[in-house]
Amino acid sequence: MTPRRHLDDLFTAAYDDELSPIDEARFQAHIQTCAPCAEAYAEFRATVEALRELAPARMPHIVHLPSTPPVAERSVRPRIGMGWFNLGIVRRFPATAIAGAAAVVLIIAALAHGNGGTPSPTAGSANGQNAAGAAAPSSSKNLAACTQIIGITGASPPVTFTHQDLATDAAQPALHLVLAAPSLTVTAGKAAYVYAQLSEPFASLSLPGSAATAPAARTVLPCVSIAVMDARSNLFVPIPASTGEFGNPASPGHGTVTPVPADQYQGASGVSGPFLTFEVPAGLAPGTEIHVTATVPAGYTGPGSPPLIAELTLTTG
Amino acid sequence: MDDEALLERARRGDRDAFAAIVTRHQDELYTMALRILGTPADAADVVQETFLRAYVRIPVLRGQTIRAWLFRVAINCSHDVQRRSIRRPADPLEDAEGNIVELPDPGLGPEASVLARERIAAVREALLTLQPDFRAVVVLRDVNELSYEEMSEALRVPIGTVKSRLNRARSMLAKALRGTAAAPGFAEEHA
Repeated sequence: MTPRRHLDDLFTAAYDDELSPIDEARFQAHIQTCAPCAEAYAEFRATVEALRELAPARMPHIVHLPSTPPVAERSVRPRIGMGWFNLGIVRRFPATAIAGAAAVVLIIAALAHGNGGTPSPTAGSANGQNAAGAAAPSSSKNLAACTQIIGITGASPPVTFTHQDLATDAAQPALHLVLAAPSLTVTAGKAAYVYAQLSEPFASLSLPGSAATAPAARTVLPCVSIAVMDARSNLFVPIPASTGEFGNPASPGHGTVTPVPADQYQGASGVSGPFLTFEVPAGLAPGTEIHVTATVPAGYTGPGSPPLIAELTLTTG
Repeated sequence: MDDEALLERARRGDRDAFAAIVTRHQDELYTMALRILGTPADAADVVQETFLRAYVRIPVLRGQTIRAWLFRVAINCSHDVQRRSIRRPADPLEDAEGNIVELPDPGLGPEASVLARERIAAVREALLTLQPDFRAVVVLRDVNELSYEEMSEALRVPIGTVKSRLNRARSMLAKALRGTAAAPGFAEEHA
């Protein structure tokens, strides 16, 4: 047994003055009598202090922002073009142009009414029912972004969806935004599937002072956007019609990205959940990246309404 | 005006308020990205992309400190760059404009100055040998001086995980530095 094995775990707490008085006294007593530990701790401290000596760096050029106001980015159909930047900037900072295009891609569409209706046995059909309800009011067509909530039946990604990105809020550990896919490799011209779900502790939604009840999960569809890297322009562009509101056929942009009945996706028959499908554009070269992004709907009023973001990068095989 | 007030104004469409957020945080985000990626051009790209992402997500940004959220986005962007980066020849001592970004204390003598430069280089190189998760945690804490709470938000892991990961990262860094040219006398100078 070397003393250092025991003290290693305490180095950060000791350095950050987070040891209890008793532990601190023991730590100091040991350090004073154990040369290897004293040397190791000195080396540890030297490392941290050397890190802290690294000079702060300054952003070498200004950050370029779109000319439109922030809230204007809620539009369903993002426009990608040089109008976002002046051409001089594009020439000087091509990476900036790419980043700008990526940002456009992240504009989220969609969601229809969450009517809080009775969930159906499968999430896909549940979405369909909610979608039908949401499609009726003409005002739903005017939704510019994911501003309404679709309640769905809570589920977990099937075991075959091994590629997952889970976003959580430290203040609300029960709040989960999960995005999952069975594979990170997709095929051009064929359908691809992702699983996307936002779940929250129902109890925290109740009014203050209301009778306490056992926490129950509420689950909604998140906003999901999908974009593909264009080989010629080297820009990310949304897959056509992929920015519509999931589950709302009346929504502008609705089309290729739709919830599907659970038994229709590959290899997981009988498993329920919010599965979304989209067509991978035909003709994409192997190795083309497709970014899938899930976010909290803009109209979400759950606890904290955190800016959770889950992302997956798929690649054409 | 604090971040929350600026954020609220930006959420209502005030572009200048968002620009103020950018001004306030761009250098610390750039510093973090530079220490994680080691390449000024990539770091600048990360900052640019971070703020563009923030710009379009402002309407849904609630319930979290903007600073921690920006760091989280920047970390994700940095990891994206790491995954698909094509190594570019770059002198990490120079920024995108060719300016020296860090020099030893000009008050040091020639020999001390050389040692200091070697130490800085050794620390930077050792940092780049860490796995991305460990690199991020040590940079957030020891370079950017985030609180454990902010780190927990930025890294999306519990505070206990932040602390244990930080301890491991610092230990790994100390071990990596042990074998460098800057190691002799290194501990004594700082002890």
